[in-house]
Amino acid sequence: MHAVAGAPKLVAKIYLKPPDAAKVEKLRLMIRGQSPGLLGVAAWPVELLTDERGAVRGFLMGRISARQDAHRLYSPKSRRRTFPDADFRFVVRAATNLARAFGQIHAAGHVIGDVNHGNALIGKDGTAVLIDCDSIQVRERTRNRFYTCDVGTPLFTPPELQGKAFRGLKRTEASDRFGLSVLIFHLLFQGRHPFAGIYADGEMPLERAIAESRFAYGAHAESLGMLAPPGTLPLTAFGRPIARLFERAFAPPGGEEERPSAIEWIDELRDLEQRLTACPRRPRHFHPRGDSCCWCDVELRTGAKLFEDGQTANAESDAVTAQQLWQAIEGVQPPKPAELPDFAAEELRAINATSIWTRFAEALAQRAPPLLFGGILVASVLSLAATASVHLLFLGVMSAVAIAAVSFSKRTGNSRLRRAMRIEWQNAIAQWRNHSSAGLFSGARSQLEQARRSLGILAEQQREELERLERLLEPRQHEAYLDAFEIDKALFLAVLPAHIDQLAIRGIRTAGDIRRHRGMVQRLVPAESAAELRNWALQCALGFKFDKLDPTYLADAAKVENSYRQKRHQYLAELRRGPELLATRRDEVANARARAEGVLRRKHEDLRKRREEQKQ
Amino acid sequence: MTTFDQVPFNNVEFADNPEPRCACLLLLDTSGSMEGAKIAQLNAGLATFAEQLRADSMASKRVEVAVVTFGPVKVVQNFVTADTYSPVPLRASGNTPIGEAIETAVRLVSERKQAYRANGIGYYRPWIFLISDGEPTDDTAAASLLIRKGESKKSFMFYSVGVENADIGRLAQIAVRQPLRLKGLSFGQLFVWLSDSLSSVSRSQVSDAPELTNPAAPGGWAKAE
Repeated sequence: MHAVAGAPKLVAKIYLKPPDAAKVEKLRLMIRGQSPGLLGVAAWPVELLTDERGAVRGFLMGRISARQDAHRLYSPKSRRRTFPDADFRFVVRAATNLARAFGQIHAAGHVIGDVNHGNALIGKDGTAVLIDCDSIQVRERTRNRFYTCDVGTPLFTPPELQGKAFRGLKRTEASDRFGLSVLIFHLLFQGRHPFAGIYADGEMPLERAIAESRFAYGAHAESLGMLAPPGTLPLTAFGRPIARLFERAFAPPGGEEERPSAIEWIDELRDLEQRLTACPRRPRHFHPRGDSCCWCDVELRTGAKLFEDGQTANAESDAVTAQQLWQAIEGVQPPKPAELPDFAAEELRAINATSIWTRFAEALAQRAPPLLFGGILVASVLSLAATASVHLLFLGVMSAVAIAAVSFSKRTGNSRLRRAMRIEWQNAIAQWRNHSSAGLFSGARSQLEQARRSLGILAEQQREELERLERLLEPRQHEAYLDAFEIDKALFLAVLPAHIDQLAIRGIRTAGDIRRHRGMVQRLVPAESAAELRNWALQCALGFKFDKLDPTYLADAAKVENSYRQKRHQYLAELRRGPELLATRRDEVANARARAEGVLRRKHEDLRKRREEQKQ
Repeated sequence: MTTFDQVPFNNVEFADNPEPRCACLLLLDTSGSMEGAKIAQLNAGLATFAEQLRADSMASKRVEVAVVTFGPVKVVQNFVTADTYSPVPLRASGNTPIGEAIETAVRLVSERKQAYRANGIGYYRPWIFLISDGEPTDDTAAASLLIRKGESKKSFMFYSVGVENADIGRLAQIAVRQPLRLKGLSFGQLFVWLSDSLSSVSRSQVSDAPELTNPAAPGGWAKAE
């Protein structure tokens, strides 16, 4: 399978070894026979691909958008991961669409032949598409010639063809009708195969069961030695008409009734979908209206979760989604550490180049005026007690000091300027560093990490909250449970009927009453009877188990689940936006750095000019 | 069904995933002689095995893996579907009680088949895959009988692989199928082959023996004897 450059809606299938003449003929026929109907439900060939010598090497067909193998929808385990939001309405719709796809192929006179769990694909919208179409059995109407399918999958092959070689085998629509019914059975009965049942008499391989038409759910199953597996629904769970279609599909071949056609399935499945209603206890259990909820029943009998109401399943699929989203987030390269531009490094060197002596002189110059005045003061004091020669010396020293002072004052001015420039530059660098930081990016990144962590512990938090609810409701349920045990229905040794009457007069009638009014029981009946009653109440309490189907619990639990669903969506949305957000932040960091560098460059120019001026 | 009907818990896994099962029991020699490179390669091979099976969405629902090591004989992993199988690193020590190990393996496989049957789950013929580098240190007569019976009744397929200096002649006495000798320490290739084979089995029909690629062909993991 290859993508086609410039044709995003097509893919190319290239054979490993060039197809033989008959295959090429078949492909040509299929391409001639293409129609919008067929192209809509199948990866139908639309054009041949030839090599430079003109030999056929493959063909072009429509690209199938993201879809999943049908088996991922029908078994509860993979449905939780692949179709976490699918309830039974979705499953029925997918089954109907599958029948529609079969119907399209049959209407054109073709037979799919190799029906199996892997070449029917289901999309997120419940639509079905058939793939591997080059194996379809095609009929050329004018010459009534058949191009056979040559492959098959035994578990979807009808009894009359079991064990036969598929090469050159001419199939009829009846064989597809069997396969379609097996697929629909898998979808409606949660991944079960119609012929997989319990056989009392040793081994019963599935192929043999099919070959011998031992439909494990049928009305005659028991007479064939078959029992439906434990924890499965009866065939009539979705109504008699559907059960009839399955009975017809899986009856021994050659009977009076034909296997149901795609059209019959479409009609009945559409009807079923309209009859589905939400379970009052589990809003995600859609079951046929008028009956009790079949999914609650199966869940109760098997302990499996068929259609999740958003706990463990979400935790599983969240982990997968979060992992995928996180990979995309990690794919966004963080900005590189900011590097000082070359000119700035140069400027820094220029500034640092001032020698130690110059710096010393500068430091001295800073302190020159106080030194000067100090010197004059000392000299004046000394000169008071001095002779004329000393006076002369004093004058000399004074003039030398005056000259030094003048020259110093000039240097001081220069050095002040330079120092100011250096500080200015250091500030500019600090500012540049500040504006070039990748903080904007790493901030967003750690926020995303936080969202991911929060998502990871969400399921756990939700579970804790539900447990808290349970603990809150438990005492009330416990009392109600004990009140179901009536004293006058129990068998006692020491408690006499008269005692029971005594208690009843005071309104003490149940095990719950005994627990609530221990003191009164003690007063009303002899100690021995009271002890037996207490003991009995304790015994009753042993059987208590929290009932999760309690309407109050269900209502509160639904609220909890809803709030967590919202949080989950929020976090997932945040993670989903992650890569884009990070890319934006990275651009922003890059822009800020460009701006900061510009500012720094202007500062550098400015300082350089001022230095030049100062030299002149 | 009424409230008082018994609800066996093993229903869950089959209700959750009713696909037909292909059981594969790995019977692995972890005796002292396997220490060093051999056990390291074996562990790496197991990791590849688990990874490969998980990558195949159908095989991961249909193939079930169990691991029994010896000696002493220990059930390291009872049957789980490949999507949940994750290998624990094995360490080498002890002797080579192949006989007892085979008896345990056959028992586990037959128990598992019972569970499939009781729950109306279709299944492929189970595989027992023995890998050993030594000679049995216990009596293998009973084990050999079990294998002969199992193979003739098509209850399971028993494959054996000898590592390095393993006594292939001795293995051949125990098994029905010709034992293969591992080329060097190509455990990696062996487990890739095994997962590929199981994947293709899990797509094929339930009762027929699958056509496998010949592991002794050039580029394969086995050496022809």
